[in-house]
Amino acid sequence: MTDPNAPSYDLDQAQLLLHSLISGIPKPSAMACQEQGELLFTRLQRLTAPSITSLAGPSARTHQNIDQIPMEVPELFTSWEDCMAWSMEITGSASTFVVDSQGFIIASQGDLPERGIECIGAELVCSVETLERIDADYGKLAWIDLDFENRRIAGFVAPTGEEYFIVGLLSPKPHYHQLRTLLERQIMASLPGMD
Amino acid sequence: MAHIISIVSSNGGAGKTTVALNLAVALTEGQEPALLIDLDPLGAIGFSLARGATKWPGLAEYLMDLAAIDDVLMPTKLGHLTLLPRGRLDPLDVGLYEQFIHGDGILQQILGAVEDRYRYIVIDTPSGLGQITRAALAASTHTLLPLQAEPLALRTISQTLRVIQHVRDQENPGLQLLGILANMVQLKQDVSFTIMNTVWSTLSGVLETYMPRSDIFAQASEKGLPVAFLSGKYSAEAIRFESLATEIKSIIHNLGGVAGEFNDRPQRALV
Repeated sequence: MTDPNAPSYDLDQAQLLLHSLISGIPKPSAMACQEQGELLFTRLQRLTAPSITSLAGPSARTHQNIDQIPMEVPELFTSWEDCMAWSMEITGSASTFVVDSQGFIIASQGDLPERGIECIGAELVCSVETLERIDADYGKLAWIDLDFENRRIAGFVAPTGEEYFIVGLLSPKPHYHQLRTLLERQIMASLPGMD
Repeated sequence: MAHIISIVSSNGGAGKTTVALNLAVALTEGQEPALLIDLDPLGAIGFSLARGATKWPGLAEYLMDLAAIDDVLMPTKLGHLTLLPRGRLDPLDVGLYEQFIHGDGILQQILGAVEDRYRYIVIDTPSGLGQITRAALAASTHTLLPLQAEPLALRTISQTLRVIQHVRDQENPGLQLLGILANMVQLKQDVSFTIMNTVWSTLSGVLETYMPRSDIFAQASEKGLPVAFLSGKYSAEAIRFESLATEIKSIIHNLGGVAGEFNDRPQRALV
């Protein structure tokens, strides 16, 4: 009887790959009929993924493949429009907006809620002021991340002297957490040259 | 144009850094200029040379526009060998470092700026098949795959080969696999012997040179030296790396590349 724990190395696939990678290697007869299309690896993008809203919960949503996201770091932004377009693209947000420290929306882009975002902008600014009172020693608030039952609102608080702007993201995909440092650096570097 | 060799493996502990360092030294001993790039965000080459994480400026400083590339190329006492260290990267920024290296064609920029100075450029990559390994493969002319002579390594080798194939097919048609380098081989141990028997009988492209598991690598690491630089008798392992360098030059030559020793050999006088 075969010992199920005997050393077992299924190297057919490795040899098939080696054959394609190293020129001059005679094709192994056992694999002569195998084509590259028969490789057993599964490409994720070939799967029909359920829509993000139909997934069961946060744990399922965290499997966003960050490798598939366009990650080119652009030149410094010269306008909020460019900044919002890039932020929306890399975070997969439904929409983005910029609100000033007075609570006024100064730019927005994407699939905005029907009732508008003026209220969201004003409440975010109030929230920043409230949250910064938690403890003055903690310094200025850098990010707000509000995870509601139906959608997430995130915002980077970009200081400009005494004032600040909030670059807001509506319904960013979960991988946006991994991009926060990149967003911060790009926005802060661009701020001096923004219209 | 330099031969750019990425040392890649999906497994940690496969000996990539040891191979990269000692291979770069062995390639350079032939008096041909070589550059060793530490692309691993954990800075494995620097640690192998017993230097702290913040000792040398390098890629991190270049990426942050804090230094020009020439300012972070570090000459060595070997003369023909230059290091490009990882730099003083904050470990908290490893994710960002990976994005920079992968996303912006930055590695191609760096290589384009320096490759005409070197015959060989050896790139040490991090373990795994993530963004940095992909970027290294996309920018390389050749790749070498160290295979630890252990069951797990053999069972996972297809993953690394798959990524190499994908990069060659989709991003870098000039990429050529130099071969599989069996590493940490212990032929007196049953498991290792079985592995090697399987590798030699089943897989193509396994290099003739293999590296034994040896205490001398730990001794060299402790002193922060390549094995060829240890005092005392010149070790068998150092000789093996010379053999590896010769075999690699021969493969490159056979693949149509120009290896220096074949066409740049100066005339010498014997007496």
